[in-house]
Amino acid sequence: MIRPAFGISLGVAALSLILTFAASGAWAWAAILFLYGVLWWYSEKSKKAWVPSVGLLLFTGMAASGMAAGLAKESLLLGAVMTLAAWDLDLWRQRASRASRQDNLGALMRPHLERLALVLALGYGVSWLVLSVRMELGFWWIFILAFAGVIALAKALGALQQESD
Amino acid sequence: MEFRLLLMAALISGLFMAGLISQIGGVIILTIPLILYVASAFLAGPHSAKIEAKRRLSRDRASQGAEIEVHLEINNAGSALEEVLIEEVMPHGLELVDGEMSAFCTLLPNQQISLTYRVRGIRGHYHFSGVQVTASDHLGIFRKKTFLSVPSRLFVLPRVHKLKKIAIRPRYTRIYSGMIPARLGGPGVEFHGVRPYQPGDPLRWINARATARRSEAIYINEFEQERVADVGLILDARSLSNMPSDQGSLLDYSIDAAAALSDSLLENGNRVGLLIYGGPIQWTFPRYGRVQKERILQSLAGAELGANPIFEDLGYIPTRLFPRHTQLIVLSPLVDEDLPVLLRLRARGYPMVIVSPDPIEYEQRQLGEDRRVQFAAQIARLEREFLLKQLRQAGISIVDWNLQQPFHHVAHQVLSRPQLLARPIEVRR
Repeated sequence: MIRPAFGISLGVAALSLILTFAASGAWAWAAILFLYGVLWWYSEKSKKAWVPSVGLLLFTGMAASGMAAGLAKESLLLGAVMTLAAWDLDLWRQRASRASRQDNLGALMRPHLERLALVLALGYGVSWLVLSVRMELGFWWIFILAFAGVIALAKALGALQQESD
Repeated sequence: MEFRLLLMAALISGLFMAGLISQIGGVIILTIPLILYVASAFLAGPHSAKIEAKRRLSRDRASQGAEIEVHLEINNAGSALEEVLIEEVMPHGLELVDGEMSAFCTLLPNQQISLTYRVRGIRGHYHFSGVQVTASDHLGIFRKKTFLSVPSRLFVLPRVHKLKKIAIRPRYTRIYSGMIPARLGGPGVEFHGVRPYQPGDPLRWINARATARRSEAIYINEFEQERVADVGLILDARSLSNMPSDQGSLLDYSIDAAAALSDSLLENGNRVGLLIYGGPIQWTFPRYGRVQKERILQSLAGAELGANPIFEDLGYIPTRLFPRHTQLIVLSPLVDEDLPVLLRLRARGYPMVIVSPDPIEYEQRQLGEDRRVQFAAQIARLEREFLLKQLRQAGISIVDWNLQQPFHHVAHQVLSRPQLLARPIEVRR
């Protein structure tokens, strides 16, 4: 069940990004995305652990650059969300395959897929809503927001570090 | 911190900063699914994993190549764990034959799972340290790694080939009856001499011929008493002499020989001790019986080559460990520098047997059939013959072990004949 879900996620992610870039005439970027998508798909068999993580960075980075270039925002957002799904599923499969025995894999997989689907649906929905809101902010507002963001991120990472210790 | 969490943090902060700098809201919006993903994992992250583990081995000692079944039971004594990866940490040197050493599962409170697998290994001491348990949320972002200490010990003992008889003849024996001719008259099997009859002697021992020849007294036969002896095995574990290579070393042969000799000597009631010389000195105090056999085998199981520069010379053998007149059996490939030390030991009155696995044949086998190798081997063989000759001249019995023959075969040829042990021994190639 994980494999088809991974295939669908990767396919949708790659297609939405490729089509968005191709529609704007950026064929070179579309080709890079296509080639990396193929590599990612085949890396499933070769079990190269770095491929999904690089894929996540590349695809999300491309979605961000597409946003910056003013391409179709909805499809770029869809691509980014599905890339996250493909990355998660691929790493889950790698984690499971490390063990020589998987006890009741179906019972393990179902809650994972349910939670992932919920998170991604919520993420996509909230992001889509935010995309439709238009807000003008002055320099100082942006500065304060950035400062608060950095502080919050540092605090969160510190808390997570403590938690993991 | 987990790599996945770091990656997420880097991606979120990168997008956020890029969005702020470029003042493009779409870029910042891309962080929303990522933040929700991490937050969801954080909320459902694993609490402290309270897991108990027990390991059971089908046996804690096995011979080389034998299969041992390991049964591992894991019990979740804490709260439910969504995703758990349980990995048995197997000692290096053991080989998995079949079964499962790791499991990926969900553990409910008080749920038990068990892993069963079979291993086999080469000679050695193996310490199972514990089990690695990684509990994580369903998204695998937050993980808690716990190492459960479940110590177990396994001895893979060297193979013991049964030897039919070892005919050592030390000059002095202990008072208990055994199998070694004691050079003393008394009850026994082998004829020892004739002496005048004394009241209390069994009449069936009367030697009719000797009595008929001399009319003044009655003569009876005397037999050679058979007693037990003190035997000290000295295993040479120096890297210098044992030629370590990827395929092993001569030490493995010496260990097999030591195992067979100690087994046979202890079976015959002798008191046997073992000194492993090379690295840190390992000394198994001389004792009798089956427990001692086990001690020696366990000690041999853990024997490793030592490269301590102090012990490159046999001169540091602690002779005080061996009672006077102990029959010494030295298991060593021998190097030229050992000659004076061995002669000194002999001069101190120790009866000695040297079991020497042939290092030239061993090395030649590894180097191949090159002409230069053959020529070098000829020279080395001349040197070795000269060394062995000097040892034989000092009254040391030598078992020059051609490694193409198994030790029990060589031992049967050489060590089963007491008359040969009294003088130099020649093993035909």
